[in-house]
Amino acid sequence: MATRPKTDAPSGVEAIKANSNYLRGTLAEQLHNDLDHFDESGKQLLKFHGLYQQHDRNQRKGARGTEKTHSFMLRTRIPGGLLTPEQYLVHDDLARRYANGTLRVTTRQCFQFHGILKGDLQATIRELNEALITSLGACGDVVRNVACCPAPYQDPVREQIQRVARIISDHLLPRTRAYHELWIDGEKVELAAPAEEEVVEPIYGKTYLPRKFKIAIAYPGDNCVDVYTQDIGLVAVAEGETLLGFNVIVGGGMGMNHTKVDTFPRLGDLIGFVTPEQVLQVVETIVTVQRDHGNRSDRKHARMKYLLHEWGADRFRTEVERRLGWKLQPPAPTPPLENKLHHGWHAQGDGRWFLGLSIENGRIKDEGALRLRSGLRAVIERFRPGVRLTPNQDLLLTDITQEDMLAVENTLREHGIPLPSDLSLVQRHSLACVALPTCGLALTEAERALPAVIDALEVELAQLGLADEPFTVRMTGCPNGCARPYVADLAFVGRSADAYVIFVGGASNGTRLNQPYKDLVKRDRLVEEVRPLLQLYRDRRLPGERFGDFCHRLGVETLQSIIAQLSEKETSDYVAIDAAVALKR
Amino acid sequence: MSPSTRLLHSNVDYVALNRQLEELTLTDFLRWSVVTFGDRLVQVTSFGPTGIVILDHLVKVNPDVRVVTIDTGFLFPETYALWEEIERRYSIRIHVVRPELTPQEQERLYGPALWALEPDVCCHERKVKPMTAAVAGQHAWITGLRRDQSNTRNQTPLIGWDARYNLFKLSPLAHWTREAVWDYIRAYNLPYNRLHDLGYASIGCIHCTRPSADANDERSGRWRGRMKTECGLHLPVRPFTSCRE
Repeated sequence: MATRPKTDAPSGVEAIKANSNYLRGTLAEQLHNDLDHFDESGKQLLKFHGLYQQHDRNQRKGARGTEKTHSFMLRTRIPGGLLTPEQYLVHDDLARRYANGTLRVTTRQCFQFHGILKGDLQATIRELNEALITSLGACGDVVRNVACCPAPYQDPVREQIQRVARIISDHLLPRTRAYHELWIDGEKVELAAPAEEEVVEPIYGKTYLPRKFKIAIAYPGDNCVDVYTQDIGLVAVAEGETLLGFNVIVGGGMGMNHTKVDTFPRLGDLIGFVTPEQVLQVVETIVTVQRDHGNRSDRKHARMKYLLHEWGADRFRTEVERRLGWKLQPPAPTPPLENKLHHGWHAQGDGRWFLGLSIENGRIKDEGALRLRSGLRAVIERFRPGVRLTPNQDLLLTDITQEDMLAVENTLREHGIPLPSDLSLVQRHSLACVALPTCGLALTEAERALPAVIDALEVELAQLGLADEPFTVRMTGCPNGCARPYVADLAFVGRSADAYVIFVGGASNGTRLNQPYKDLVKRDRLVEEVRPLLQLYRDRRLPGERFGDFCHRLGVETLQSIIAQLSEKETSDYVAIDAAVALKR
Repeated sequence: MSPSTRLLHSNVDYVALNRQLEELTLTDFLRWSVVTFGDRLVQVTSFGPTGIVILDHLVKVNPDVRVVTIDTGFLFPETYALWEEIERRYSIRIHVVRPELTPQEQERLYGPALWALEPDVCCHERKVKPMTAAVAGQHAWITGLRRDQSNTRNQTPLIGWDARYNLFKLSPLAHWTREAVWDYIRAYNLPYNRLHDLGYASIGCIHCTRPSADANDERSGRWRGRMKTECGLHLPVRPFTSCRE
């Protein structure tokens, strides 16, 4: 791949950051003018405050000359996805009062509000702040919310990695006062005798990072956070109830562009082991390497994965060690990873229970008979469970006593909310990004389209006798990869005007990327194109082999040729197929 | 304030009092302190060079003076050795206060490496909270703060009000320089922490103290790599204004 010279001029966003006086710009002035939106540089700076300026793309094709109507997406930052019931209820209340009446769980365990009007931004953020929730650094070129396995088992190691997630997240928050000045109070708290050389952003500096930066922590053997897709993935290493440290994986990332071959999803590289004492320093040091060496001229090459690709893991580790002044220990052995959903009822180990609910595409709303938002509110108001958001866009209700279990279930069912045991495996393992109508990057539908695709897939799987096979299906409206499609067994990635690329062959535990199988498939043909693959899988898989592993074993080209031969002969003549498949055993 | 103290916080004109105290020699300052605060006066020290110069004078002014140290459980062996040497040399018993939590209990409660992950919380458990016991019942405490130690200390008055612990805070050598302190230690062959010979300018707990990064910045080896330079015992001091909140 061609690497770009570092002498390229910095991108426009770099100048906006540099001139913003630590994320202020003219946001304060613009906030109070009578327009319904901010200008271009304001729009860029708002991201660092957790806000995306958007407009309803259903209305984009309105009459010529009509003004777009703008609204805002606000994302909160919830380390490890942990919320008190009170904090959940504040989100619910604000969604009703200021947003579109829905909440969206994200794959980084945050909440998004959609459709907030400019005039309501300050009130929304203020009320969140009173509930001790921030949106600072939830978007923008900084370290985003730190994800962590949220399962609430009473295990000291789980508690400690949650704590480490919060500490890392807080440590890498922007330190500028801009957020408070702008949204909360405008009051400047003067500390006594500020030193003259006071550094506003000791870690980030004036221009923050070249691009977003994602960190996640996995529990040993449990990869619900998808550590290989993060800029920094930390895999906890434990011995019994003692947290020994973390294996450090760097340079993963999902985004790509269909038309640019030098953009690609990438899994991270394992570079070493750190103790709990070292982890914060090492994470900070890795962030500074990306700060100083990441590409600032081309935002499509600015993620740390491209630095890793250019340098290789050895050079990267050497630079980290040079800055630390000491060497990383070699990686520790860890149990194999598995992508756990934490659905259903589980004993926490302290006599109480948690219930993992599958939230279709992470959207909490009331629609028809399915009154998910009302039902959750009813349960949380009455039983006051802890609430935890998962990286699979799902929700856990925690600390429920045995006596309350039935009543919780009944309340949910009264609101038409299915329990995970009522849902198909394929639906429970599915993910979609927001896409149309609000996301400015979307080329196709995702969240709104996936349910119908899943319904059709469920019928196929049932007919093929595959209903009990777990596999991950992910759909995104563009190639940027918000729903982490490139590690799924099966993925549909938006390409153009209702057409998708079908990807197959990812490892369900997030350790292997999938490959494009077929390009430009119209949405209504997706399931039809996948059907022969599923049939082949049913007939020719090895014992216990998962769909993604099967597709990977055969390889995309073999699959393509087998399916082509099959469709020519319109039979189930497996002679040629067996020959091809046998080659791969 | 109890009537035994001749000074009332609300009545003190700190500007004028500091101006007067700056004129005194160290011995005279300490005499004034002993007369003013009687047996409600305590020196709290971690055996830094400034504290030792003060102690060397204080035991001569009042051999029964109460001296307290906070044993965080994370001190250097060199610090424990110095502590013993001082007790021998001055024939005094140094009172010790310790954190509520042993290091093992702290690890059980907070998880591993609290000092690295949340140094403020660790300092709070191991220094700030025990300090309450160290000054319980006292009316004034003597510290070894100096103005040239750091930017956060460059306004330190000789006497101020400690709003966190609610007593007077005396920094008799606030106006001395590091050189003056060391000249004195060498001239009189006072004991000092051997780590100073190894490039440590300021010495705290074993996990968070490194040799100084910058020879001109005395506290640059404390919590190295962080913005933090104070454990929290010493609130930032604004010149005299913190006395009238």
